Amino acid sequence: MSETDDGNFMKQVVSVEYDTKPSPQQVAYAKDLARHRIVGQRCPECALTYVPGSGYCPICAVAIGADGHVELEARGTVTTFTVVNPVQYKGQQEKSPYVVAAILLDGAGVALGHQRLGEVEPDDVRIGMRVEVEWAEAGAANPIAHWGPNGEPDVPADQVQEHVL
Amino acid sequence: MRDIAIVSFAQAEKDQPEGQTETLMLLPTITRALEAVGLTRKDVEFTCSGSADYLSGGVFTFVQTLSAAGAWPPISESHVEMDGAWALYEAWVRLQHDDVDVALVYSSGKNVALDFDDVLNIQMDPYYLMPLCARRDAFAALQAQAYLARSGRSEKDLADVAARCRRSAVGHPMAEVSGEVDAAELLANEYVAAPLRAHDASVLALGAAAVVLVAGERARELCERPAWIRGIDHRVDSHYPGARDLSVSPSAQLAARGAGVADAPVEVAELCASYTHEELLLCESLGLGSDVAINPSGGALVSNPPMVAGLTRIGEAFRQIRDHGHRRTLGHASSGPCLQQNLVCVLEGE
Ligand SMILES: [Zn+2]
Repeated sequence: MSETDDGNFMKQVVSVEYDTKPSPQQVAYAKDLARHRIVGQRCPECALTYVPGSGYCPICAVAIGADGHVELEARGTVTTFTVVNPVQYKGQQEKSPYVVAAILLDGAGVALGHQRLGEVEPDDVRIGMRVEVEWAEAGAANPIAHWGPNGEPDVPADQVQEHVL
Repeated sequence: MRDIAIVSFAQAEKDQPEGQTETLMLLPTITRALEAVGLTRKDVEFTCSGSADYLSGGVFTFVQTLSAAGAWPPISESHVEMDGAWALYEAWVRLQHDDVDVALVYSSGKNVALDFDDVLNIQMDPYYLMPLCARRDAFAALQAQAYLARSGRSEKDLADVAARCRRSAVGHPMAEVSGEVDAAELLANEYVAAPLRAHDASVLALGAAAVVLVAGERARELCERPAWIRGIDHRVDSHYPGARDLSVSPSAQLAARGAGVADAPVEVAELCASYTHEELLLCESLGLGSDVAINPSGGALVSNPPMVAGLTRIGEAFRQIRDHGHRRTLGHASSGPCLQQNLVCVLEGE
């Protein structure tokens, strides 16, 4: 406790600790990803494929069971991106600007968010750019090292504008 | 007032996989509640839900659970950071506007990712009570002491409540604890917080439930025996437990008066008592005599899913009319420390 001219201040530490377990869908997605397989969930009604899936289609309000699981190729289109300029605070691991993108995998109905791009300068990244996965070395926390350009011609940006999120 | 009835009630399965999301607990539950009366999600004109994101530890969990109700194309909906019984109250008010007839009410709650006492603590006032980090058993024990001292009831009376609830719960699919127990046997156990022992406290659970409300003649078309909401009221006592006489529950009394409990005999009451003494105190406050069957489901004592236990009491009171031929039943919900908030819903069959 400290006393100032403005009044008395009381130190109070109240916290709530959570021990959150991943959902069965998250566990299944992560296990497949560790085996370099990207498995989405296709809605039995509207046929949209979610990656990763949550076990239901939020548009149709129906469950997606195991029979809706579909494997997708680790290849897609950048639908939006941001260049991160890392502030050099204590403990910062990133030294130079890098790109985080949303990627619409071929055959998927929604974009995969927060994906790191590599093998390309930030200034050269474009909406509509075609990319494919670079898997990380075995044992890495994230099985995906990054996504890099695969040399295919760009998809016109207006074809992916519905998938920026 | 417009005649509004409960026509359907469904609960999520008791056993859920580890890490199950509230959305996936609710999805089949809402489907069952609607299908039981031949409705689909498209028939629902207003949706109201009750939950607390502090329980899941995820921001906007209540928005994710909307996916279980079906929110595309956009729907008319609302949410209360309260037990689902208060969501039911809001839906009832919404139906009173006379322009819509069908409402869906649902709630969900998990107790698995955290220490439930930590969450209850942050609902306390931040200056005097929160820093104490008092457990819920401690608050309940203060009220139990005050109630026993005033009423002359004994710890044996409390054990009798526990034994009766466990006996009633035999065969109930949602019961976390049930069976034949002897009150004397229970009294041999240690105190958790005097005068309360472990059997005096409710067993926490995870859960989800859904209720369908329908107005007017449509309710009779959808359900052979709808349960008409004849009175519903909720009241709150002072925020600060230290400023209250804990041996009584004025808010429960007021809610009972507002809901017209005394207008005609109540046959069955489902009370959201998280502790045995709360049941006795509630019976007194609501004016329920020994002729009223209390908690035939076992009540919240045998299964207490946070945010769902109150809505479940109203659902159980509905079942007493639809399935057991009773004419007038009561569902009660409570919230806050020491029965701070009370909601009373009187249902009638015809
Ligand atoms: Zn769908």
